[in-house]
Amino acid sequence: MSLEVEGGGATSDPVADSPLAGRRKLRHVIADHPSMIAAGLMLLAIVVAVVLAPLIAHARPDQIVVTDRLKGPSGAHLFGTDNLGRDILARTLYGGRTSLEIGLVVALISVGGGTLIGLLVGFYEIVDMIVMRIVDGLMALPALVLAISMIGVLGAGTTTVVICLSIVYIPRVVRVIRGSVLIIRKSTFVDDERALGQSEPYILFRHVLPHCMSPVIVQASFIFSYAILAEAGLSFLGVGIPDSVPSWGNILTDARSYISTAWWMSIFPGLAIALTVLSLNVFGDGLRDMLDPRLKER
Amino acid sequence: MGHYMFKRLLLVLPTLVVPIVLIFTLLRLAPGDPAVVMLGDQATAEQVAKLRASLGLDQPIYSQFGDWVGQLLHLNLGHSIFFQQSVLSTITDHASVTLQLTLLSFALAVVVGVAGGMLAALYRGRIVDRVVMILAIIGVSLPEFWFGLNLIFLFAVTVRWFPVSGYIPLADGFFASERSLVLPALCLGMIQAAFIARLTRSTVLDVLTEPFVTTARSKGLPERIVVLKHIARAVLVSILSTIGVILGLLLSGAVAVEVVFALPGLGQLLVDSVGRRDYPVIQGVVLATSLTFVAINLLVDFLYALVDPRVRYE
Repeated sequence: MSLEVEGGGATSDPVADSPLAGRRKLRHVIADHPSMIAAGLMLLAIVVAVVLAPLIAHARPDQIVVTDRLKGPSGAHLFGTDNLGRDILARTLYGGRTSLEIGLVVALISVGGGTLIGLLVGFYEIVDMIVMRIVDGLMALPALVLAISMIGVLGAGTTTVVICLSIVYIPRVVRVIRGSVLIIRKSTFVDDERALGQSEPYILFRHVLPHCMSPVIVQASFIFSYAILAEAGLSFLGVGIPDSVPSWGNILTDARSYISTAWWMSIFPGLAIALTVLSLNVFGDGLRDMLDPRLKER
Repeated sequence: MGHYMFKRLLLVLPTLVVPIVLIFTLLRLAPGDPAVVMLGDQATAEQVAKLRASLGLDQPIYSQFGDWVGQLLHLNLGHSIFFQQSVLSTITDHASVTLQLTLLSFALAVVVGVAGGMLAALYRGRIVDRVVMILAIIGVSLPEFWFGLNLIFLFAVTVRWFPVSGYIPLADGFFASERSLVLPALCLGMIQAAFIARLTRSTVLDVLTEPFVTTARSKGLPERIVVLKHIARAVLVSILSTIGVILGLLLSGAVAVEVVFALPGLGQLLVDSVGRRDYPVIQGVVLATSLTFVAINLLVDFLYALVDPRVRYE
């Protein structure tokens, strides 16, 4: 139980604010959270690899070479080739662009929208009554089942996947943020602001929102990872990103049919998903411990 | 208790309204004329008109909703275009596989997850804790379908212990049927076990600081009794309260697992119906899962109130 970490910076301690202390603090963070830093570096490496895809992979992801069908990993094709002779390394890297983009956009929309709704819901009781019933209702549907049925009717595509996954995750964020707001609303400093004649929206955004930032950041990292898993699942099932754009999910669709002859078709793209999600989860766990010291060492 | 149950039942109603309205609107949100999409390009104008009438699409929207809810109350979920039979019997045909798979996985997940989580918490900071927690965080990070592909590669392709895929119905013998479900249940169960292990570990660490554990120990009870009687009970109660979440994860995961292992369950039916544009079946499956889900959550709440009296008086 070390309580000395973050949050202490809120008081205007001249020593803590000096640049030297800042550097010492950073070193503390690295020493206290080695796995979180490792996960962060791993994520950075994945993002760099995906952005620099054209420099790393020699082939284009959709380049079909029939003579190179189902070749195992070799110098020419590090991750091997698929049933159409496409380079799996290139498909994994370019697929990562799609998957990471979708994960990021879903995380931003869900956390942004969920935070806004959570703030309003936690602060105004009338809104709370109505909105929380809708939230409960949406959460009464298993995530993937809801997403598949919505996409199934609206048609597969990047936009529908983003919209449907956001609808799935917004209620989860609303619940978390509402919980924090309900606690903060009762604190004396909110009463003080009211007594000073500040308007409700001003108090909400200027004072309550900053106190909710820790759960917001932690939620963002977890939803990022859920969204990557969900997109992969949907696209694998053929109800996500259409085959014309490679994504980590849809490049695995064909792997199932060739599982007994071409293991490399499923291993490498799957490892990419697992490593990314694992890093995000470790990073998220670390963030939670750091921002909420009460939960540390659990 | 009666008062609590009544209050809880009333609270369930709005939870049901949202899925019902959502599922109803879903079909109306479809781009183009749903009847044309469902019948395909070859349909004649007459066939389209007939389907539109049978779906009630030629009525004003409010009377469509009224009719639809009325039919739901009579357990009439509509007619499947692909199977040429009622949606209800299509769903019951596929439900038994999903039910078996979910129950097997759930049992596996609770046993492995609780055992792992308790070991990790009781040997906190030691090597057992490290290993369990590393396995658990890897588990929650794996996509179910990919874990399934790896299991097939290991246990069905490399060492041929289990069939690659497919389902043997219960009618062909209990053991043969369960054997065809071993790999799928392992796939779904182990990933949920990872989730439960993380939950159990933090619950046990909480409970260890509770006064009743100190009392039990100071009474001189052997550690084995303290763990098995006092701590395990608290863990089971906390798991009971998150069963809703676990079940949602299981049902979502079951969709991908059924497709990977080619099991003819509700998940496979849902995905296939999306491909076939069989809208009534899509609606029926979503409705059936959400109703089951709500019913189980309600049951869990009652059980929870029975086990933990504090809930009733809140």
